[in-house]
Amino acid sequence: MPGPSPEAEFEEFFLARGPALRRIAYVVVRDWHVADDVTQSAMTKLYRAWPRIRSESVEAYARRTVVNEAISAIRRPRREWPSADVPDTPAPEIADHGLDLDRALGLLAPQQRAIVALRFLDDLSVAEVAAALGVAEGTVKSQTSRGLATLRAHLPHLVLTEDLR
Amino acid sequence: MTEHDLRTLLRDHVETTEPTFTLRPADSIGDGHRARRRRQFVVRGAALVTAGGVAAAVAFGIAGGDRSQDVNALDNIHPMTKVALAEYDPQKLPGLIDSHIEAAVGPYLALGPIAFTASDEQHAELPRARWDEAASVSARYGGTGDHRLDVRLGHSRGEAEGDRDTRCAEATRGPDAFLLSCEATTLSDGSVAVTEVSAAFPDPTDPTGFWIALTRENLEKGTKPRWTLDPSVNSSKRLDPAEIFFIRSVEVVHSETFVTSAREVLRAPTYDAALGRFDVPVTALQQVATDPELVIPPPD
Repeated sequence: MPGPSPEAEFEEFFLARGPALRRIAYVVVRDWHVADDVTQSAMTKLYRAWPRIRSESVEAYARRTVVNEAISAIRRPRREWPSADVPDTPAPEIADHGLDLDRALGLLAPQQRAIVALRFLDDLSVAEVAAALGVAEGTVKSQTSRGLATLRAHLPHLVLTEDLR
Repeated sequence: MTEHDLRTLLRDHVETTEPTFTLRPADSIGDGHRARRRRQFVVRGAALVTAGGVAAAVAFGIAGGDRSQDVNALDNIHPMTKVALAEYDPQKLPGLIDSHIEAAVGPYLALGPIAFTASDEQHAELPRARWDEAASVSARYGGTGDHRLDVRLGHSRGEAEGDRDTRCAEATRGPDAFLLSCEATTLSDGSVAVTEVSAAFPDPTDPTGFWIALTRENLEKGTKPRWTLDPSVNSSKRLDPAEIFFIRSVEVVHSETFVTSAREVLRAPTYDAALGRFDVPVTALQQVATDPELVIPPPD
């Protein structure tokens, strides 16, 4: 009995991993609309490369593509959303600590945000992040260290809030 | 704030703001097919070189959305580049690149055999059968020895963009300068050539051979960058002069996406020693980086 077609395999991966990849994109670009665009574009590139990617490398390749697309998107001028595209449901209110975190993330370089997303959202190890981004483990360590230092400097009060619970 | 705190905060922030996932795999599949057909048209179109070379411009990554603005750009495409794109055969790239590099650099440096790789946009190495999908190709000589030559041709908007004069000024300023020298020159065809010298050492914790850049301060004080000190590896913070490599490169930005670089890499204990040991003149590196026949079409 023949196995699933490449399209079927890709669809399965898309639906299973798409939301998680979009979250990574969101942390880098900090806008859900842009994260949608980035994820769709990255998935298109992933589909084109699908026939030659080994199954054990798909996840790392997909993460790398999403991160590269997200960083490229930041470099491009942000397009204005026409009024017809504005969702009719109001955006969820972001709690104060979310605004603080969002502002603090905005202080990081795009690659640092990507590394923070992969390490603390996806729980990847240093080696896995390095493989996903195609950089040296030393780069991951240094960027993580610098990113955390920046976040700590701008979010000290959140530790106090946690401790009072 | 602990890492656990950050993990909790980050997940909470993402999950409370996340809208419903409505992306569809069919859209990516359809876009992927269209991109493949578009690339096939562009590559075939490049073979139909007209007097205006429009197809070559598209294939070379020069033509943008407004074709009328690219008329001047079309005039700047070297005739040999048009021919190279029209006759482009990725399987012949290693031999083509090797012969051109040998002609330019051979008189100054014994090159040895070429190590050729083709990579996609995500820098993943491509098998030979898929070299036509390459976003970049590289030719390396000297392996992991003390004296090497690297040449790279690639399409990357991120690498091509940015004012080179500004980059040179910023990269050579202060004790954290990661370039020891940098000069940008606009060539007669409008492309920009940047000549740089930098220092680095191989990352001992990374088996894939990444380099760790050394700043001017690192060289002056004889210390490694602080973030490279991994307690689990028990590495010294002193920089061993025997570990240091110096890189002199010429990089040419040809278009919005196409960048070529040629660089000589050698082991030397100091900057002054390196300057005395570079064998390949900058003019020869520039000859490679500006060679009109060393070109690949953009990946899509």
